[in-house]
Amino acid sequence: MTLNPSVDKIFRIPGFKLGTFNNASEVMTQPGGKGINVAMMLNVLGHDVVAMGFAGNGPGRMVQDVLREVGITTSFTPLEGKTRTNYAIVDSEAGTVTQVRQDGPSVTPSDLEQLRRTYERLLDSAEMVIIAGSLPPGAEPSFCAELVRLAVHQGVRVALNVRRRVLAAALPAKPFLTEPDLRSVEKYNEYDVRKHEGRVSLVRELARDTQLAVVNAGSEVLLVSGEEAYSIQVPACELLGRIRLDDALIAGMIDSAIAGGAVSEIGRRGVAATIAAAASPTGQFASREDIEACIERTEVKPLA
Amino acid sequence: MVRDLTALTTDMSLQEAVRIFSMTRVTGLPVVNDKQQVIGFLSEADVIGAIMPRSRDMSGIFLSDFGEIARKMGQARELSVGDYMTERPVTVTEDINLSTVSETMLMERLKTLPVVRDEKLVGVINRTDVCSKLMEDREAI
Repeated sequence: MTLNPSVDKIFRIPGFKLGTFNNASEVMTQPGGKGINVAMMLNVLGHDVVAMGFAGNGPGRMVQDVLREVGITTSFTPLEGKTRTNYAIVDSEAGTVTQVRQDGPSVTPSDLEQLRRTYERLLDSAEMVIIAGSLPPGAEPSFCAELVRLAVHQGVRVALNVRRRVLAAALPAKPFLTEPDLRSVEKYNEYDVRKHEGRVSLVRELARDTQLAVVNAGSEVLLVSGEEAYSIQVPACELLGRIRLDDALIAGMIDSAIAGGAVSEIGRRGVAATIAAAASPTGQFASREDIEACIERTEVKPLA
Repeated sequence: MVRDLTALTTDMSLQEAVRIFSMTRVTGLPVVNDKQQVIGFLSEADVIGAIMPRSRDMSGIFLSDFGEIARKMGQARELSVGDYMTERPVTVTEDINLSTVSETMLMERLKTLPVVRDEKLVGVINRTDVCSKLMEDREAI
C-alpha cells in the first residue's frame, strides 16, 4: 500500500555544486514511494504482489505501467491531480545524497472511501499487507490506522513503515511488524535516536504493541519480539543503495516472515537484502541468490 | 493481459463511473462484488444508453425524448452502476488462447474482457493487447 507514490528521478552528479550548472553522468527514472519499492523487491523474490494506493495523472500512469510490465498486479485508486516526482542527487565524490521531495496530490474523503473499499475486497486474498511511506495531503493518520484494523480483523498480518504520527495512530490496532521511518529524525518520542541507547529504548517501547519491532539507523538494525532482542550491524553501503536501504530491509524481512523465519533470521535476511540491493546496478533489485550470498556478511548479536 | 484490478461496484453512481473511465482512460470496467467476483461490466455505451434512451419510429428513425434526457442527465448522480451494467458478462481465464479471445471479442462486439481466476478478477484483456499480440505472432511466423 503506497498512499503517496512518486516517480523518482535519480541524478548521478560527481562533484555536485550548489548554485551553479551541473552535468549528470547518469539519470534514472523509476517508480517510487516506499511501498512500491518494497513491492518491486518482493516481486523479484517471487511473491505475488498487488500494488495499491492512489495514482494521479501523468507520472501516476508511468508508475502503473512499469509495475505491470514487471509482473506486479495494480489496483490504484485514480486521482484528479498529478502524482509527485521526487529527485535525488547522488554525489559519489562528496559521498552525499541530496533529496528533494514533493507533497503529492490531495485526496478527498470520497477518494479515501473508494480506496478503503477496494482494499477491503482485496484483503480476502491477502497473506500480508505492507503499508509504507508518507500520507498524501488530505489523508489523516487515522485512515492508516483504519486500514491496519481492517486487515488485523480479517486475520491478515500488517507491516508498517511509516512516520511517527501515523505509527502512533496505528499501533493500537496491533500490526505484526513496525518500523518507524526515521529519515531526518533526531528525536522520536522522548528518545534521541542518533544514539544507540535512544534507539534501544524506542524499539523496546514499540515492541509492546507489535509482534516484531524494528529500528533501522542505517549503521545498525535493532529487532525486538517479545523476550527476543537483537542487534545487527550494517556494513557501509554504496551511495545509491542508501536511498532505498530501508525498503530493501522491509522486503527482506517480509520475505523471511512469510517463509516462517525465526526473529533473528528475519533480521539477518532483511539486512542481507539491503547489502545486496545496495550492490545492484539499479539500487533496488536484489535477487534471492544475491541475498543468500550476503547472509554471511551479517552478524546477529543479542541486544543487552 | 493487463494485470490491473480497477473495477466498479453496483452501488457506485454513473457519474462516479464516468469519472473513473476518464481518469483511467478506459472505455469500460468490470463490476465486482465484495468478494472481488465479476458480476457485471459497465461500458461507455451503457452510460450513454442510460442517459439517452432512444426508440425508433415506424420508419426506423431514432426518436429522442429530450425532456427525458435532460431529466436523466440531472439524475446521473443517482443512477447506479448496478442498474445499467451488463449482468453476467463474458469473462475468460488466464490460460485462454489468442484465437479464442479474438473470436469472442469480434462475435460479442466486446472491447474489453475481464480475466478471472476462481471467479475473481485478476486482470483484463483489451483490443489493443490482442492487436499487439497478433502483430507479434505474425512477425514470428
